[in-house]
Amino acid sequence: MIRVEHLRKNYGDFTAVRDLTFNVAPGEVVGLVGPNGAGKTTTLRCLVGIIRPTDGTIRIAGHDLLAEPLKAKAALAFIPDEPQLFPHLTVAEHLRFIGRIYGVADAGLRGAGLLEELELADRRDALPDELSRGMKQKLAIACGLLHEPRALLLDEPLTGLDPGAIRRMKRTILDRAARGAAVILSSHLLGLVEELCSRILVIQQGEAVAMGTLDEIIAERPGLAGRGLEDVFLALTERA
Amino acid sequence: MTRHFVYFIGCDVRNRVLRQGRRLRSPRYAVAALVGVLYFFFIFGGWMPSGEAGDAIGGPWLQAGRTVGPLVLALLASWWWLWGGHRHGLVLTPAETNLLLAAPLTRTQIIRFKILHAQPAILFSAIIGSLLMRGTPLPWPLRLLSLWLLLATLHQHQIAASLVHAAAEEQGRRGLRRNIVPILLFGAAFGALVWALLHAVADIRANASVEFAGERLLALLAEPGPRLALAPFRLLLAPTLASGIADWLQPFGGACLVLLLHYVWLQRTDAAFEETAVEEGQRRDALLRAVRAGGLGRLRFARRDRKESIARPWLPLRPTGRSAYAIFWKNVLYAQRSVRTLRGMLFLILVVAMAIWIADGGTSGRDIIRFAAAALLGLAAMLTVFGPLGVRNDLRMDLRHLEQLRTYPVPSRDLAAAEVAATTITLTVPQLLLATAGLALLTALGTLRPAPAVLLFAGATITLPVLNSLAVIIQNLLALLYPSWIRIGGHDASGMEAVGQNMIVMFGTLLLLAILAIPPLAAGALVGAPLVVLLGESAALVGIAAAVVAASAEAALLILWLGRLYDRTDPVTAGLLH
Repeated sequence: MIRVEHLRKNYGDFTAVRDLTFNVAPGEVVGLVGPNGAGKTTTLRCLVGIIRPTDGTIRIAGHDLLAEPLKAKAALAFIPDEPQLFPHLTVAEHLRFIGRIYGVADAGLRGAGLLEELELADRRDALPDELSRGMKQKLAIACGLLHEPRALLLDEPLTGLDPGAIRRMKRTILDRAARGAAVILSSHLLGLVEELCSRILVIQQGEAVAMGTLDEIIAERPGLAGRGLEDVFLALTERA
Repeated sequence: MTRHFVYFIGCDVRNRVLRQGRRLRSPRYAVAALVGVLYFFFIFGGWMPSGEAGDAIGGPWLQAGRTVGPLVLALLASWWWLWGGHRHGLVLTPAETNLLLAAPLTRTQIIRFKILHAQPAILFSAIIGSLLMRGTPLPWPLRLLSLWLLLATLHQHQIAASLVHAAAEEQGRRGLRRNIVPILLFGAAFGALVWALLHAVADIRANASVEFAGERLLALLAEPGPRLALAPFRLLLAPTLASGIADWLQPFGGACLVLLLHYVWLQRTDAAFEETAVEEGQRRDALLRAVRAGGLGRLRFARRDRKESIARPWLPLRPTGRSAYAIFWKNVLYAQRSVRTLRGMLFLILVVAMAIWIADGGTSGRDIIRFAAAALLGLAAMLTVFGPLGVRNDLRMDLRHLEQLRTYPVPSRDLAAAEVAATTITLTVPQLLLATAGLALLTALGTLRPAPAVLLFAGATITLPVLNSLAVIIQNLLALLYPSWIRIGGHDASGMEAVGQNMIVMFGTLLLLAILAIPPLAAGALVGAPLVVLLGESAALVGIAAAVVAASAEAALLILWLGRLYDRTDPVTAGLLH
């Protein structure tokens, strides 16, 4: 569903992402982890078409993101760590707006369901400035899920959510994957990644340093046997 | 404690200056700062003569200032007392809330801190003001001192008004009782002014003419009641508007006394203001963040009273259809909700109705209608020249949402067209309303015949949309080509370089617009001129139509370019994302 080949992104002499190749199959949740400045955000931004890669190909649901950007983008959703909301649109209007952008014929019905699911139904006429950080995040999530994306990319999706909402969000992510969506989850919360992700992609200085299930990664490094993801992550990313 | 406050304020000022200075290392900021300096040099030193005392802003101007100035100050103070005082006088920022309210400081000390903290800004305003008043007879240092005294007293008066409001809000009747003396003094002064004004309006209504209205209002200021009510303001203004050094010393002493009385008043007050100040500070902080994130229009959404209902969108939005329409819908809705449209319409109706009502009361009323028509047409013209710079519900607003916008499956050409169309319609509708009202008044007067009025209206109707769209496209192209020169959300522009940037962008836009106007004007002349013999005045309309077609073709090409540019702009390199 998400296929990335030899992705590279340069800023002048600086290479933010170098030769990144991986794919995410339908129903799979891949955790994207790495220290600050490793290139996670740049990778995600390339994958969703916010920035153009310097080199490499990205295919979303079979469509080349550079050659057929509209078809590729119609199949994906990106939920950034900071909710990107329009200050003058109410909660319900955000969903109407997104519904039209993606051509969701039953946006009203789906939107109402999502608002119920995310406990925003009673705030449907509120403006973003009247919402708490967590509610804004929930609205951003609702906007992302409205068109039933086949590729879902999340950057720190649990920031600002309360414990109940975190539990529901985890369930939502797994539910979307179970329904055939390919999910990439970028987070510093290694416990969350370990809990939700079937595979993990560890990047360091723009390069993939490990990719696979936790067991596969450990199997390649016998010295890490019996360790959890946190120890594995630190061993992989700490400079010698 | 005052020593600590002064140290804190000194650090604050120093760090601000250093931050501004560091920005000037960047060539584009340095160039903009140079333009800003030249602009101020032109304003302060260019056209304004610096000759002998009183030769530029001489006796008549000073006299006018002495007559009208106290009334203006009184209106300002009334505004603070009646509506604005508690909103702007004493505000604690979140940092001040955490540091000052948690510290072992008395209310009086906190108020003293706020007074001291405001002094650098007041001094800066006084310096600018004293430079602007370069032509007055007073030497510069005395002018500066007088202006500082005036502004510092007004600032303290504003704080005092806000404290009275805060006490009333937090303590109810008890708070009002504690401030009964200032409330009674204000009430008496305000009542005297309103009473005299009502009498004057009745006289003006009976003998409507601009000259009479002016004379009557001036006479009002000389009546005993208003004269007494305005006495403190006259005292405050007197040093600034003194005719010379000899004339300055005595009023300066009086103004110092007014300042001293305010200071004593503030130091003796024990109003509980914390809740109001903190609440207002939080609101201000939200506003500041909102403005930095999304321009002035966002103010309306951040400051919205929770009881205020949200206007329903004027435009419908079906779930399916061209996706770019959603962008247009969203941006028009932004304009609808960020401008108090209904109030604007009411204002327009009020201006027209007042003109007709006053005119009906006397024979010289035609002057007033002519004045109202000129004002309406002038507003339409101003909106045409400056509107595209100020109304920005297009890419300039949306670029701060680029992280989201780029993920939408919307063709970039369509997106560019939708962005431009939203601002174009936002500008065109009020322009046409103002022009229609102005032309209708002139036609009703007989100053303009119906046929040319219709021709002018038809010309405006077909010209304004394309003219606006070209100006808006230029602004959007500049935003993508030179993002740091255009105010986009997150761009915290201030200082001399911000003034320079604004000047460069404004003149650049006008220059580009002039260049773009050449082909349409040529097309209009080529098509319209030969038809004058056949069609007479109507040939102008054909010429305008040809010019509009040519300008529309230019706009279409530029929108294609804008779309491609939007597609190719790397938001990180352009500084739009970090």
